[in-house]
Amino acid sequence: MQQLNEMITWVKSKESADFQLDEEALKTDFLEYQSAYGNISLKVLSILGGLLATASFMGFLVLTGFYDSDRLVTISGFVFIVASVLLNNKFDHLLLDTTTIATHVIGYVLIGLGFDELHMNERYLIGTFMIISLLVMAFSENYMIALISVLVFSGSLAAFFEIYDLENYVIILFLLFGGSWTWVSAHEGLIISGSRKLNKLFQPVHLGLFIAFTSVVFFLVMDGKFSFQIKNLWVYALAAWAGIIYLISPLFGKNGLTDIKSKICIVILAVLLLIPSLYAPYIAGVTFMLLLTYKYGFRTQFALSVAFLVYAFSQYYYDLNMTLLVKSGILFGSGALLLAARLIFNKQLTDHE
Amino acid sequence: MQARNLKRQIIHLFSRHSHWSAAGVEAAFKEQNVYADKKDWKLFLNIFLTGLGASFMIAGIVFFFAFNWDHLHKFAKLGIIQLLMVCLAVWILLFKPGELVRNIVLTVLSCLTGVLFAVFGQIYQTGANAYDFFLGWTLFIALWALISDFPPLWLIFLVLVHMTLYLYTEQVSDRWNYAGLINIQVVIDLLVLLMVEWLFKKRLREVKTGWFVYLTGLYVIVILTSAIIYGIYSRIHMTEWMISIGLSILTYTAGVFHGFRTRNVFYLSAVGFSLIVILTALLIKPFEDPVGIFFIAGLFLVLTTTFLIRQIMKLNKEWHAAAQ
Repeated sequence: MQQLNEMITWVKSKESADFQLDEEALKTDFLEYQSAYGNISLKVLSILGGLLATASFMGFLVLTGFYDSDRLVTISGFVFIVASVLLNNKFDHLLLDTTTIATHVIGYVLIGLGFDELHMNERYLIGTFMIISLLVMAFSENYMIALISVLVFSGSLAAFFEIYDLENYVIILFLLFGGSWTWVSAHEGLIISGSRKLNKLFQPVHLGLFIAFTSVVFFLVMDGKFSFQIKNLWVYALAAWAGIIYLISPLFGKNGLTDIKSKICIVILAVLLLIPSLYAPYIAGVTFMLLLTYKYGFRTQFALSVAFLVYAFSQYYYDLNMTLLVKSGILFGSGALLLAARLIFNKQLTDHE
Repeated sequence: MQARNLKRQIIHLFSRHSHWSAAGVEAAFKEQNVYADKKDWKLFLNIFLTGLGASFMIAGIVFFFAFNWDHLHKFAKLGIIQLLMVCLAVWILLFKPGELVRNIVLTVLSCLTGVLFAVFGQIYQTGANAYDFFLGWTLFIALWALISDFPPLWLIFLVLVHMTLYLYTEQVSDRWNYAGLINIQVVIDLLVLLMVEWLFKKRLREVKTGWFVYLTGLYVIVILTSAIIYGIYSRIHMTEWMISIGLSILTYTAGVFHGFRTRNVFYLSAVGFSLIVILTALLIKPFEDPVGIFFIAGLFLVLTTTFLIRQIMKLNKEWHAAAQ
């Protein structure tokens, strides 16, 4: 609360005298955010309750033989989705989130099952999912529903590539998801000041795009392990490096890190990361994620990117086709180089600051 | 992390309730330090270089040993590990580094004890059970876990204790059944919790025991729930079941009291949810007809969870609104 008041005074001092602020609504919203979903126990409780309720309801449906009639299943799917969005909008009470979200997910599942029973072509299902998710996003402001919609949309898009065996064109997904995630992150101010709806949709959409991009990078990690083999891996590395350069170029400008030692450190780091990413572009992808989440202060996503980086490096060295001796040499050498750079850097830090 | 997320949320709420311009919001992100500035980037470089550098070097050394492992003489293998342990121990005894470093080194030493025993078992092929391995490991690091003020080490020790108990039932003797094993685990965990909360609180000053207590408490509640439901459905081992119920009543009341005393909703949520699950299991059990009961169970779940969440939210508002 204290932080809220501090912010209010700060903003008022910066803007002109006629800056309008609905303080009461702001304070109510803030208290609601703090007391309700600000607490992780409540979040977990709602999710668990929702999942269990969904599971038992699905069990009930299967046992009644409702599952046997394909038309009924499909139509119910649509009904569930529409009903859940309407209920969610009308009541706008955090408690009903449990049931409405569970119903929403059941709706998608039922449509999928129904289409499968009716032996309809998969592309119709994908198209339907994409249209439904867009429509749902147009009509709902709820966090979870928006997140589900983004995931369904991006998942359907990815599925489209899968059923037509377009593995070599996944670069499109890489650029699409990566590009939109970057654009959304960079233009947060523009989006949230646009309209109330855009303001509320920002966080779930941003998270959804992060998940979508992470999945594509993970797909790159899995290259060669399953039945597919991606051609032209260097395109991914190129795209990721373009993104990385875009992100860190402000650091080299006037307002950035002007001292020469920092710049050398950055270059050493970049070169050390560049070499493995020629063989494994997912390293460049993860580095890009790391830098972007750090730059724009998305702390949870940053933590996840760090975890992914650890995994990516482990996987890279595991897959490397050299003897353990050579690998140990490479690791020890690059490690020593990095620590040396750090020592120089640290000395410089204490010199200047 | 929390502060930054909160600031971001505040800016979002601000923008929602005013006609703040895009430029104004951008400026707010920059000046309120939500976006990374020069200082943050320097910190990033620092940590990244050190972290990556250290991990790569250590990995390099480990890989080198892995490559040559089969060619090492058995005394060399044991000797290397023992030498490492002795060096670490001497270091913290003689040079007395800061508390955090000392605790981390103790934890590393505890893990190395396990490694030492594992290598011993691998070289000499004694044919011992995994139970003996874990028992030895647990006993030998008990003292370190006791004297350290380091929750991660306590956690490792507790995990080892549980592994040992479990392996005892698997490999050594049939004396305890499923519910009996759980009862013993619960008693041990509760004793540990009591020790942590009461005795150590006086010594530990600033140590953050929070997450350790949550984790252990959650584990206790989960296994008690599982024991009770097991008893409801299998109707055997009645004595152990009675004990489980007694322990649950004890634990849950203590948990709820503690939650009210410390104004923490965690215990209330966990205990509440556990009770809901148990009641649902009780509800489903007597019915022969599987169809209708799933629907009723689902409905029951939703209603009770909603009720629980509402009560907890009310309490949370009371407690935290009062603090403001």
